[in-house]
Amino acid sequence: MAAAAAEATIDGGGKMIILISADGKRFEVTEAVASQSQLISNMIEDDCTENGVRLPNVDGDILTMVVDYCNMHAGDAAADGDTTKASSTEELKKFDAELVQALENPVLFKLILAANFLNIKSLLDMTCQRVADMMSGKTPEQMRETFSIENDFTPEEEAAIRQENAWAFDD
Amino acid sequence: MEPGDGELTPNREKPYVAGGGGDGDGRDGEDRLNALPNDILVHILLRVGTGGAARTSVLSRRWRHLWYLLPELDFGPEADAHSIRAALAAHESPSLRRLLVRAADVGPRRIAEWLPVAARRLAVDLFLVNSMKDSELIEQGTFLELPCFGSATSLSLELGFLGLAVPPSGVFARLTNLSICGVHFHGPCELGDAVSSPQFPSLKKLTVLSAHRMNNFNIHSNSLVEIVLHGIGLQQLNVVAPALELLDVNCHFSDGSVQSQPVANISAPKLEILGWSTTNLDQSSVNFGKMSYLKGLFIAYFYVYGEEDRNHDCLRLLQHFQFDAIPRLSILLTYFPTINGDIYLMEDMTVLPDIVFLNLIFSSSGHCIGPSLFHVLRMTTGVRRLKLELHNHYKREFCGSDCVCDLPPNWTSEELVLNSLREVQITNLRGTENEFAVVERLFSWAAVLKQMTINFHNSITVSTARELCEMLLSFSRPEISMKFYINQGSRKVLYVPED
Repeated sequence: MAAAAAEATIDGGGKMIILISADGKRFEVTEAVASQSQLISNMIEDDCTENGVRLPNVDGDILTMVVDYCNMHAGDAAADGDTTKASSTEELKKFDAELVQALENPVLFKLILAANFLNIKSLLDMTCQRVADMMSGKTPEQMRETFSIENDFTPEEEAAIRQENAWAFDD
Repeated sequence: MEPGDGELTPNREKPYVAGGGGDGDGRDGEDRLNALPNDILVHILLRVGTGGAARTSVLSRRWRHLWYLLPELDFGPEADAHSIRAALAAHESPSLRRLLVRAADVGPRRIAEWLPVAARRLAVDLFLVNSMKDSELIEQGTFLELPCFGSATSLSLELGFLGLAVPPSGVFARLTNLSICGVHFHGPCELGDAVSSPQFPSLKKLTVLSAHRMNNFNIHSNSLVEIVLHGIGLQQLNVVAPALELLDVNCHFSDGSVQSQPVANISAPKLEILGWSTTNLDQSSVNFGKMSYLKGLFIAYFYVYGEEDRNHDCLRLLQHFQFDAIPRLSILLTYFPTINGDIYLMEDMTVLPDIVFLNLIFSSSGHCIGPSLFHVLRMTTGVRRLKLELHNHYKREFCGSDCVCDLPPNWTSEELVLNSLREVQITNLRGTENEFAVVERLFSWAAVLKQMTINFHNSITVSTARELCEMLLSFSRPEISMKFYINQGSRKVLYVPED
């Protein structure tokens, strides 16, 4: 790992590794890009990425998004300058906002699972924040509708729970 | 990317990090929020806030108890004491790392409903803020008994002047940080005695702000590193703290009914920073002990004009340290808005410790700071760094043409040689006539100045900064590096004047 870091080129290069999705799609990325996943970073440290990293819980279309995200954010961790990065930070924010805004619910949830499995904290935080934003300010009925949650309480049970947490329902 | 055969396998030894519950096999529900594992849903609920998370309990059975897993709870004023108690009692997270309660006009009895439950459950931080708009609501004689927090590491209590009693027993074993603001203390156990005993074995930082009925504060602690006491009326202060590095005391001392005279005894041999601002405390009643490692002395409220004896405590303190070498000295020099008729008190300041870095904070009320600055610098000609912070809470630029603040005039005529001064920093410069006169003098006194940094006041825009820089540069010399900063939004940015 130390040797690879020493050889790293300006574009965050170094060794390439192959990620393989559940449906067999292969993605060649630099170690710097892949290391944003704590899971893969640990595997790189343990020297077990030589034959590619198979990700049986992540579909190809989701992995495409993850790789795009990691490519965009590869410079993040390494960047120590503050003012010079200002414009690219803006670009990143825009990219992130567009990425999560555009997603249909099922894709968003799969992306959350992938971020969780790969342990990419910033992507997990961002996607969870998106769901939180969708919940905020909604009544329980609206939340159920937004997220296809079936109400399996009897009306009496529901009334009792509302009563119990009455403070949270007073607006 | 290209389709591959996928025959490669990852290291089987490596545990996957996916949370419990939603494993990949059950395909049918995977595209629904419900299918996400609990730990991810809790991660989401944390971002919704405690109230919003509590509302999800009504969605379905799956969601019924999810919010009890939140590791952080934040209750606003809408949450009554009973609900907080119920939520804490039902809480299932293995550790509650943060509890924030923002209450409004709540009396001790309501807080006591849930505080003991919190004390049992809390692993890390408690913040309790009780904003009292109507003190009439407090029942006379009631007080809150602080339960023992056996595993919390930090307690921050803003009580809106409720009564508080410290428990006479119980060990706050992991507590490192205790902050108490706005309380009436109730006996019989004194706070100082409590934190001195084996009850608080890990306490590192103690902050007490605006406390009534403290009277005597006696601390003997081997663990304390920082003590901050502000806005407290005291009769006696006794500190024995061998590990103490910072002591910041801003208190009024008063004669007690029993004690004959207010006293302060400080034994803190490792002390590095001492902030000391007292009133009504005669220096003959103060014993500072040996402080060989003192790096900074911070003194507040030296009145430039006022009635005789106004700076009594402050002057005695300076006398006490006059033979010591202390790297950094900070003094707050303050002016009343109207000074005509008052006595000029700077002449009373005749001794200062031997210092390297002088920090003068002026609360000027628009008056000219030239005379007082000149007076202090005349006594500290060996100083290498000077920092001037200019504050003007009265928001007026000038004090009036009949004001006597620029007297005595010696600062404009007498020479002063500051042959060690290399670095000057001025903060909150607005560019008034008075300020420019001072800066111009500084350049002539500091013959070997290498660097001057100006942080303009936040009212200074880019276009005014340009003019001000031009004037400042005209006073400067080529060998002096001049740096200017202006405020944009909340950020401080370097301003480079164009040629």
